[in-house]
Amino acid sequence: MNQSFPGLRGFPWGLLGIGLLFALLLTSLVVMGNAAQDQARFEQLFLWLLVFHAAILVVLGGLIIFQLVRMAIQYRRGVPGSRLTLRLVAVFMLVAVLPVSVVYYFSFKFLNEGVDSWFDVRVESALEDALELSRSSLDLRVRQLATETQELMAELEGVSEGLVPLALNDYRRQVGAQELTLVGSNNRIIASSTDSPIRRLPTPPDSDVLMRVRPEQPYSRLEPRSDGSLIIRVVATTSSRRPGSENRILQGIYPVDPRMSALSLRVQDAFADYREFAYLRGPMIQGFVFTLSLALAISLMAALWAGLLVARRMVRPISDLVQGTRMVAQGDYSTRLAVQRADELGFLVQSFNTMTRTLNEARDEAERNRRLLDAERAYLESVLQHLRSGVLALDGSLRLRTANAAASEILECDLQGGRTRVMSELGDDCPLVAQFFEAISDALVRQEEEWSRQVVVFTRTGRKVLMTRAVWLPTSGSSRGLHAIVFDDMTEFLKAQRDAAWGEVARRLAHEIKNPLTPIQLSAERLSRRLGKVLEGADREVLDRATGTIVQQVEAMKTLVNAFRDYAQAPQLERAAVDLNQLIRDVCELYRDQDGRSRVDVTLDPALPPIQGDAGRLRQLLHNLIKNALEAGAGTDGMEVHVVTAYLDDPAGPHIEMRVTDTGPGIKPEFLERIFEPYTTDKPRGTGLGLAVAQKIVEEHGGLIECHNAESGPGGAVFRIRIPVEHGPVVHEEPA
Amino acid sequence: MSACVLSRGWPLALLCLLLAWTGPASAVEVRGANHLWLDEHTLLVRLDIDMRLPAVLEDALANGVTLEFEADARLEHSRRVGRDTLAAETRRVQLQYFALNRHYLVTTVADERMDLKPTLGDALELVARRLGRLRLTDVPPSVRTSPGELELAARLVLVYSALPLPLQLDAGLRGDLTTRQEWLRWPLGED
Repeated sequence: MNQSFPGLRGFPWGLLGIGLLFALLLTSLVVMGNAAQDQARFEQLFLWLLVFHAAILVVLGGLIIFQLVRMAIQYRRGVPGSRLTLRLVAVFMLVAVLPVSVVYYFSFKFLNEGVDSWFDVRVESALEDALELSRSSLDLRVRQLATETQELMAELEGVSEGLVPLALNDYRRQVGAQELTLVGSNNRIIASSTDSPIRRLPTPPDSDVLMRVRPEQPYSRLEPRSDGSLIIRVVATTSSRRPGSENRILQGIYPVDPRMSALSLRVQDAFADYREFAYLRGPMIQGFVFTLSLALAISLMAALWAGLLVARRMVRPISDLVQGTRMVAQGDYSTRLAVQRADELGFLVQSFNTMTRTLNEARDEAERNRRLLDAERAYLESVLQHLRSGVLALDGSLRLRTANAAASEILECDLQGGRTRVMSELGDDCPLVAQFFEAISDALVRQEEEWSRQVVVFTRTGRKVLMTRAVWLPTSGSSRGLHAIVFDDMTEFLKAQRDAAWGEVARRLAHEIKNPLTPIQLSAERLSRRLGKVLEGADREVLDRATGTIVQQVEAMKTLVNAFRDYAQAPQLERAAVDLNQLIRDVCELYRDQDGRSRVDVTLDPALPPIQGDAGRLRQLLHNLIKNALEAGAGTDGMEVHVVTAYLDDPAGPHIEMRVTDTGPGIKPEFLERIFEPYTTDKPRGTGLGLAVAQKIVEEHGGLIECHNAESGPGGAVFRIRIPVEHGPVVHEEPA
Repeated sequence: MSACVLSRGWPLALLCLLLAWTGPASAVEVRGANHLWLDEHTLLVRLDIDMRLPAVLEDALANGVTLEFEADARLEHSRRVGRDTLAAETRRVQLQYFALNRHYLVTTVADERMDLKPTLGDALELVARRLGRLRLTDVPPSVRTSPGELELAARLVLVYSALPLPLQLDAGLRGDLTTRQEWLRWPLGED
């Protein structure tokens, strides 16, 4: 992330480069314009400028390719701003290409048509005519001089070799020649005459000329000189009239009239220039087109380069913003962008910086609050963990949110590791949780605002009484609804409380009731003995009946007091391995066909393991239950009591189950809920302590006793007793 | 052979390099050479020159364009890396059409000697003759004692920069107007 642009980093080097480039191009155009005034200088500079422009083209091309490749890579990588840059460059290109193309088209057309208009057939024809005129005029002069030179040669035939120099001198002056030279065989110069004051060696005709010379047919030719003048060279010869004499050749060089010479040469130069110009028309147009194309290419490339730089410069704040936004999205609120512009984009960048600063401060504040909340939560967790009460928090979908250590301990399940799990799922692994949840689920589902109940669950080690209180915290703002459940294991407390209460009852009974009973009984017996001797007849009967009633009721009261004493007696179990099946058989044997109207039968599980218990107390339990069943069906013929045992190993742990069912009228519903409370009975002669003692004995053995009326069959009451066992089932080997 | 003339025109050569143009073969070239020591300081070189102009140059000549040819000869001492030029000579000859009498004008640039030839063949022959005689002077005297390491180098080129500018550009773009010959070298045997 570009956090800042220290130093020269933010300097617009690209724009400076463009400026320099255009300055160079402008300079080159000015130089070209000045050079165009001078053809030689133009030709000298043109190639340099061409190379210069080509070099600029190459440099620009390289820069553009570099930028385009860089842009393509950024586009492929999805760098922020690359797409916008591409679009802007495309727009710049389009804007540049359209006008330049129009200019190029019309310039091209103008060049073709304009250059063609420079050439006129009439001018060319006039020049050709002028050249022909000059040529004719000069030819006439050449032919004239050829004739004269031929005649001169003929005259020289008769002149002796010694007089030839004088004769040549005379003749030269007569015909106005620059030079007359008489050459003999082997190019031997016989004589020469020249108008130059400086004597110099005459130039003999070259072999090519000599080959063309024929007798009476002089060779004549117009020749240019390096000083810009024209001369006429005539070479004449005659066939020798004297046998043995050598052939002589006369070469005459005649000047052309300076004006004639200048005019002719001027015409010839103009004609040559025009022909050359016409000939170069095609290459010239190509050159112009090439230059124009070069300028067009430079313009386009410069525009493209400028577009790239400007687009990059324009897009940079946007790409910085996009990058900054990404950083913010990733949680980095410390991002700050450099504000480089004073326009709307600069304002946008400034706003972004303000936003990130505000976000950063808000995040810091939230972080502080979070830490505070964490500390509070840790404190609360600590308090919860150290609470002796189990605490559970369930959300609206009954998913466990919080559980403390005490809850895990009481429900014998790792609830803290099972957070976010639904309670019903937790129940699959933890039987107590399943029982607990089943017992309170109706209140949870109804989302009762506040409730409490006593929940009894059956564990491996016995029953547990859980005093449960719960509050439903409905959805408020962002916090969702929550069940806060607090429960305590009241088993030991209740047991101790009950023991203490019944102990007090027993003590009071012993103190307040039992103690006077013996004197009452003794007094009644004494009255019977003393007065029985005195009274007779009806009085004696009344006395016997009254004292008998007193003694009988006192005995009954003693029995009642003893029953209370037994119930309130602190458990002094003498535990030993007890075969419950055998114990049931023994007890039931006592009741078999006792009155001929009822029947007691058993169905015993042979796999029932021995239990650690007090055989006497368990025997009393059986007596109480069977007696209760028989008393419930007293006076009913065909009364049946059925005792069933079974070994079970369910999620609650291995235990034995004993059911005592009867075919009696069942228990009245109003007694059903408090059937195990002392002094609760619907029988006219019951003490109301039999089932309470039975429950006490079961609880002393860590078991659970339940009671309900049979829903099917002959009806009657069903007592179900579950007592945990440590050993597995007894395996009886089948006889081979 | 490549299409650009380097002498006095390396900007154009750069342009040609940029355009990466390779032109057609030229028939204006040195085919062979022999030499003659005139004295211990002077070496006369005779070049066997093939002067067959491409059609485009003949056309340009007929349309008034002056052609200028340059013959270069060097006496070089070859080393393990590179060469030392001991003596060098350059000769330039111009060829143009003289419309006044329909002849071809051959001009030696150095002494402005002019000659007219009625046909192009004669003119080219004269040009070859003029260019083919070069005199290398001021040769160090110690050179002749170790002739085995001496080389005679020669080449013939059309002077590109002497062409009219549009033709130079056209030649640069098309490459068929120019002739250029790489240096030809012969070991200089002992006389």
